[in-house]
Order: sequence, then structure tokens, then C-alpha cells
Amino acid sequence: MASVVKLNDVWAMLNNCAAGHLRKQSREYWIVTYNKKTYRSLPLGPHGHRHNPEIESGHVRSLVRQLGISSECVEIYLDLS
Amino acid sequence: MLVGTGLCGSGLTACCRVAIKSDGPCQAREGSAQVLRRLFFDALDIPAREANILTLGLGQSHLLAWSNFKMSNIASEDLPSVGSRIPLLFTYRDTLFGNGFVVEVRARNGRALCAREPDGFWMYGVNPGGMAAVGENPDSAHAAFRRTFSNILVDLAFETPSLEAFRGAVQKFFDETNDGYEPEWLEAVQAVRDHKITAVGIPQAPADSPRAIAVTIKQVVRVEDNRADLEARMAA
Repeated sequence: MASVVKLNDVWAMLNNCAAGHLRKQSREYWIVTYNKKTYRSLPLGPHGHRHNPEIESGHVRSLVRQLGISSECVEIYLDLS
Repeated sequence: MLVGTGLCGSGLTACCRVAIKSDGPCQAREGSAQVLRRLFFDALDIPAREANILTLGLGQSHLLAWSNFKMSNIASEDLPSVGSRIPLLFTYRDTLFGNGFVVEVRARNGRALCAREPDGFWMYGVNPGGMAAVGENPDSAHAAFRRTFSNILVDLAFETPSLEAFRGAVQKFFDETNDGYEPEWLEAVQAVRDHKITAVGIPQAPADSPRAIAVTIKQVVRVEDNRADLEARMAA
């Protein structure tokens, strides 16, 4: 079972560690852009349960690395282990 | 020996056909996606397995994409410990509808890192770097990665008003390197070269195989377009 984090916690991390990032919703994913890089597969969450859904941590690990966000900053807001 | 075939689906948006070849015991099963996943897991226990999974997605996204997914022979035992990494090169083909056009997108030698993490098997995109997928074993992670790749292409088709804009967006998506995972991918390549990583049955290809993505207009649609090239090779 994949470990998960709350989407609102991901937004809090991005607001503090990736100031100026852009995010928008597509059909199935959140698309986050920062540092001229884009992560395109952050899940929206299960159908019908999209109020602050749980997101598999690996997506956030990949997002953080793709966008070049400081891991030290991320650790303040999220436990991605 | 072909021992089982089945059909399953869930409404209008997906259906699939499965054929399992095996030397070991296997039963034909039919049913839902959950049953299909169960069948995958059973397949992993088959000593000499070979499976072809054909999936068709045809829904509101106007995606028309067949995937001919040959199980990559990456078994869980090939990634025995948390932290294990396998560097992969993948080749996919999708046919999809854009705004006023039908195109084929052919991606060659994309790079991905198959990693066993404490929370499952992950496929991290390196090129394209902006995507990842998870599964309970390497095969299901790869299948999820493949679906995600196709879904993103459809997102790009929705976002772009013209063929040229779509082509540029696809190129940008594919060219973006995940600088965070690229070093681990390269380390894993070296480990393959040093014979520290062995995954029986996975064909190998040079790690520097030319990477490209092409978007071409489909003037004539043929039945062969239902078969997507799909392969994963271990980079060496």
C-alpha cells in the first residue's frame, strides 16, 4: 500500500517551498508548473472524494525532483518516506 | 501453451482482452478490473510466463489507443530490496484525436526508473520527467505508467488549439528531464553494466539509444493502428 499525503498539505508545501508556482486541473490530474518545469500526473483523487484527497507520496517525490524544489523545505511540511 | 483468454470491461470507457501463455497452471478468468489485476498477480507466480495484455480506451476523451503490453519479465524478485532500481527505455505509440486532426504519437527510448520503494513499485519518468505511476509489482507499475502517458497526451490535445501547438507541447513534455531522478537512472545503468543488476528476460539496449518523439498526421487509419508499439528494455 502506497503511503499517502493530504492534497492540502501538498499545496501548503508548494505555497511555501515553490512560491510563484502555477497549478491547474486537467481531466484526471493536477498540473503543477514551477522553475519552467511541469509535473503533469498529480492525481485529483478518487471520484467523489476530491475534498482534500490523499495523494500517493511517490507522486510528490517525483514532483519535488522534477520541479527542483528544496528537499529541506519539503521535509518541513511533508513526510514522504 | 495458451491456457486462458478473457474479456472484461467497465462501462463505456474501457475494455480489455487478456491472453496468458504459461507452462504452469492458470485459469481463464472474466470479470472486472479487479479480477484482471488479480490475474496479473497470478501470472507473476507462473514459472515461465508470457502474457500479452491488450487494452482499448475509447471514452469522452476521444482517446483511441491500443496498447500491446508484453509483460516485461520484471518480476518482484528482480527488485529484491527496497531501494532497488532498474533503468528502463520505453517505446510507445498512441493514436488520438486533436482539434481537427488525427495523429499518431510515437515515442522512442523514453527513460524511466523502476524503483522498489517502501510504499510499492514506482515508475518515475526521467524523459518525460513530469510523470510517475505506482503499482503493487513492476508490471502493474509499468501498465499504470503507460496509461498515464496516454492520458497526458490527451490532456495536451485538449490544451492546444492546433496541430502545431500540440506538436510543440508534446515535444516539450517529452524533452523535460527530471533532473532529480536522472542521476539515479545513470547510476542504475552503471550497475547494469557492472552486472550488479540482473533482470532475467528483459532485453537490453544501449543507454544512449536515440530518444525522440514524433507527431504525425494520420491520413489513413488502418486496423494495424489498433496495435501500439510498446516495449520496455533495460538500459545498459
